[in-house]
Amino acid sequence: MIRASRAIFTALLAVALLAAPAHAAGYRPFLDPLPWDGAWLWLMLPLVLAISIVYKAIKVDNLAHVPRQALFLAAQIVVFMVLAAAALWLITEIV
Amino acid sequence: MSRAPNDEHMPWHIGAALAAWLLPGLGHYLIGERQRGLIIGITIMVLWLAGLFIGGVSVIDTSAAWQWFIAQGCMAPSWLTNFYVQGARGTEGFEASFGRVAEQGILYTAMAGLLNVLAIIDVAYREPSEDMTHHLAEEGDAP
Repeated sequence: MIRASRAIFTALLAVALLAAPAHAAGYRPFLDPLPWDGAWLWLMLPLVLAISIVYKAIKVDNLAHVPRQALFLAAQIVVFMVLAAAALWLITEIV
Repeated sequence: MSRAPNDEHMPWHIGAALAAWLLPGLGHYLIGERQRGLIIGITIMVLWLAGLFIGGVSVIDTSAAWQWFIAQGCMAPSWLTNFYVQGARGTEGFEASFGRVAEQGILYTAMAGLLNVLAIIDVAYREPSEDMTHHLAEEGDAP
């Protein structure tokens, strides 16, 4: 369980580190911001996943169930947000 | 969440709650919920570090946006970062972030703080794990 949790976040961190502009002259990780203005929407996904993992780790008694339930909760949140965005877009188009 | 059969006689884990504020997950670890503490701690710390990685340390700054610090300050590492930012202001210690990356960095660190509030509340009221209860009972029986 912990191995799975660690693996997920090691992978997320590895992706972030690989995507960082390490070649950029003078860039200092954690001190300077990343030039990720265009990718801001995709940053919602790891945020949702982290929220789901912590919530389920607190809520669920048997920790073996956390990965499956956290993924399900994350999927529910993403689907609901997409539906809400679609509904708001429709309203702005109609009105 | 695990609850004792009779919540009125449940002691609050004030020390564990304080430990959870100092380092996310440490409170659960101390009351014997080691696996749960590791999951909560690793997840919250990675989220918080990801926020700093995306937006830089300037996303935690009481003089620029103190309202967000109400959430960010719910974990002690944010206070240390804020002290650093206030001390390094006006030097080349860090570069201020703007726009979407600043928003995302603030959001990540604030969410990490708020998730730590959940963890603190949980650990304050949580029944210690069976192993810890057994250990405490043995200590109590000892002469």
